[in-house]
Amino acid sequence: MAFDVKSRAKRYEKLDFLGEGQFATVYKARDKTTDTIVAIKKIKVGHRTEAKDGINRTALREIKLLQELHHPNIIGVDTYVFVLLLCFHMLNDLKPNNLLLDGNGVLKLADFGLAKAFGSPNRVYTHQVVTRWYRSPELLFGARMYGVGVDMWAVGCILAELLLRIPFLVGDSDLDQLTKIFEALGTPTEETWPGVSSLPDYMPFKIFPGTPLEHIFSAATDDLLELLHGLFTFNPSTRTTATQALKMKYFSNRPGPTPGPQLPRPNCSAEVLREKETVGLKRKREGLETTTMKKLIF
Amino acid sequence: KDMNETFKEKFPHIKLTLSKIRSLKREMRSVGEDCGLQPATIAMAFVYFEKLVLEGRLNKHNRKLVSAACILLAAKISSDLRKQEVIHLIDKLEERFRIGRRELISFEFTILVALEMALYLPESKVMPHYRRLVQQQL
Repeated sequence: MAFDVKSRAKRYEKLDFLGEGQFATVYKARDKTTDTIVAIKKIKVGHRTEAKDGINRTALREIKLLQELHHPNIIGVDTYVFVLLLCFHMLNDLKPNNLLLDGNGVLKLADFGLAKAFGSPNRVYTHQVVTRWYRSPELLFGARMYGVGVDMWAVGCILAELLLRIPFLVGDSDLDQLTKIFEALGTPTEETWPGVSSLPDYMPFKIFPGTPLEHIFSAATDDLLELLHGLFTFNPSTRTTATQALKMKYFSNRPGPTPGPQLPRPNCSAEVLREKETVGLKRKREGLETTTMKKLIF
Repeated sequence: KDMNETFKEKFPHIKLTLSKIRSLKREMRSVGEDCGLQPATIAMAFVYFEKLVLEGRLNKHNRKLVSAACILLAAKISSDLRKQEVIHLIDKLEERFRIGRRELISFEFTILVALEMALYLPESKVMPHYRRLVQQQL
């Protein structure tokens, strides 16, 4: 296959600006050959001065992981969570911003920048992963050996957000995040979470009794509360895993999930307007980005 | 040197001799090991490298840059190294392959495009190299 970059670029028509992260800008675009809507992620190569060690590692890892994961996901409003549980396992940055729904209601996980393949159980990971509001208490206490539990905590936070329509635990610093968690769910002790006090950044907190989940999520059914309970377990080694969660009643009880294509679509006129305003700004900045695309043939 | 002649007959489009290809791989391995890369990471770099060799894209002028860039890409994708260690690896690659840093950095992107961004490799491609790396000591 010859790589004619120009003809490839013509294949997609940029429709909208969707968002911008540290390493990339995401656009909504149309694939003219298949007439489908796609998300285009434009990786920032960065200014010459900051690109002295070459292509950003996070961007490279993301490219690799996206190729590694082929997941045709079937989704409904309720299965939103279901699919989430099925397919991530290793995501490390689960938050609503990284979840996209396609035209058929299929959930797409985006932003694999921080995801690592698993299979290195004893590897020491960085604890600066996961956007703060979705970060689990063990990460906030500086745990270096963590597992899929951090993602399950994030799933709990996303599920809570779907129920509340606003983010559940909104901390403005790591310390405040822990306070928010303990205020809502009660302060963990060595009894409820053995080993907590030996974590690297552990510090004793005021003892909060916590609010029963049924009071926080007053509209949630018992099967859903049971799921939330499992996801918000402090001890990472007893926290509900994806496999366990999928076997819980919530996923088999009625009502079943809405088929993806029948999901209601958002009416986004106001949003589109706002996005258009931001595009102008981004354009200016793009001028500064250097593309190393010149030497394509060697 | 009839090993090289046989190779040339079999792969007329490859402009390097088999001995040269092997020596480049030895160098890749040695720099990689000196900089703390895992065998699996070096094996990945070999797969990228051989892909480009087989496509006949290497020549006398770019062979060192390609070898170095393959190691660099593999190192960045695996999480073996911290940021500072990546910078150290770049220093080492510069020194061992006697290439310029700026050229290497811009070649990294060239290689990424040449590989059609296909950084993910199935286990079946990596394993043969990995096994050989683990079995035979330098």
